[in-house]
Amino acid sequence: MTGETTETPTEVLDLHGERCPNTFVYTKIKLEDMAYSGGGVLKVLLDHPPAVENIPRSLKEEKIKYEVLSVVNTSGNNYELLIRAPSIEE
Amino acid sequence: MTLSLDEIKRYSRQLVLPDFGSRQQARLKNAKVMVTGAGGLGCPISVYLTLSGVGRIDIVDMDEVDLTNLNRQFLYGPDDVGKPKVKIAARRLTEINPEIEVNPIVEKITYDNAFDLIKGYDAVVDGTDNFPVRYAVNDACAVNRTPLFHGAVLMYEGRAMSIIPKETACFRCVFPDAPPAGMVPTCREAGVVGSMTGIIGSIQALEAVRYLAGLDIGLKDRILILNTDTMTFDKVNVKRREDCSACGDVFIKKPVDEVCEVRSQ
Repeated sequence: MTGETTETPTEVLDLHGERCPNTFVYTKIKLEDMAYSGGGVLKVLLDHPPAVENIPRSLKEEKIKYEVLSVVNTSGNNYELLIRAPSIEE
Repeated sequence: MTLSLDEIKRYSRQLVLPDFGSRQQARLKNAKVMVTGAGGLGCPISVYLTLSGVGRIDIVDMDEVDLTNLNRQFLYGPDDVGKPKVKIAARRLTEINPEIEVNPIVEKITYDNAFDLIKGYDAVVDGTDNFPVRYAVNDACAVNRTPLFHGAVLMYEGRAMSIIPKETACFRCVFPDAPPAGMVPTCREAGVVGSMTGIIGSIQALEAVRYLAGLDIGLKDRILILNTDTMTFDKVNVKRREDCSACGDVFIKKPVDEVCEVRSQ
């Protein structure tokens, strides 16, 4: 689940400066909005290393089945997560 | 419905929960709830509904703040003595969460007005402290098919029960009639410690919030009985009765008379 992926993100969420658990809350709410409006791929930008592990782990506990496509360490503490939100009916 | 960034931040510690999310929060925001009574139970009930983000809360009570309320009714202070409770409560609750609407209703609930007063709500959370009003609220909720979250405290014992009319047992299914006058509590039994009403009111609010958000609730067809002498929680299973005068096949008006009883909550 690490390394480059060919998936193109449909939305980007910039969480630079945010810490846990806000990093997860913002990601979760964004993914829910995407899931209920047709699904898509979200790129999350982070500079809080613990969130890189926490977000994928916490997403596993959600009822909606999200798929973490890739985790890339772009530089220093900067990370990019690519997550797929399925399409869910209201 | 999309939540604002402020709302996401304000509710982040509940949005983070596995079964909770933006849809559940939006359901709470769209909910209209009545809290009957602004006393010992009404304070924790209305505070927790407010904090959870229930969009519209109407609080009914005709009493004014009394110095004897202040060991448990934490929305009020000595400066509020003599003022209408619901007005003080509504102002304080709106300060706590300006995102929601809180309406004070200075009115005495009676068997005659309950059926009109309790109409159009998604839930009623009952913080009343006497049998005539408790039965009036139950019967009105049964007829209007409004989910009712019941609670009561007497000395060191507390009870709570969640009622989905026509689906689960109502208060009258379990207690068809009010206790006779001789059985009602004496003056000493008016005693209540603030944290008792805090616990029971919080349980009622939690059940209501979970129900409104679309989550499962644990007190359907069950009465939770808390005994704080031994700090034990027991659950007693109860059953709906089809011949119940309130929620059964035929509704029968059965107002409960005012008796000389203590009012402690």
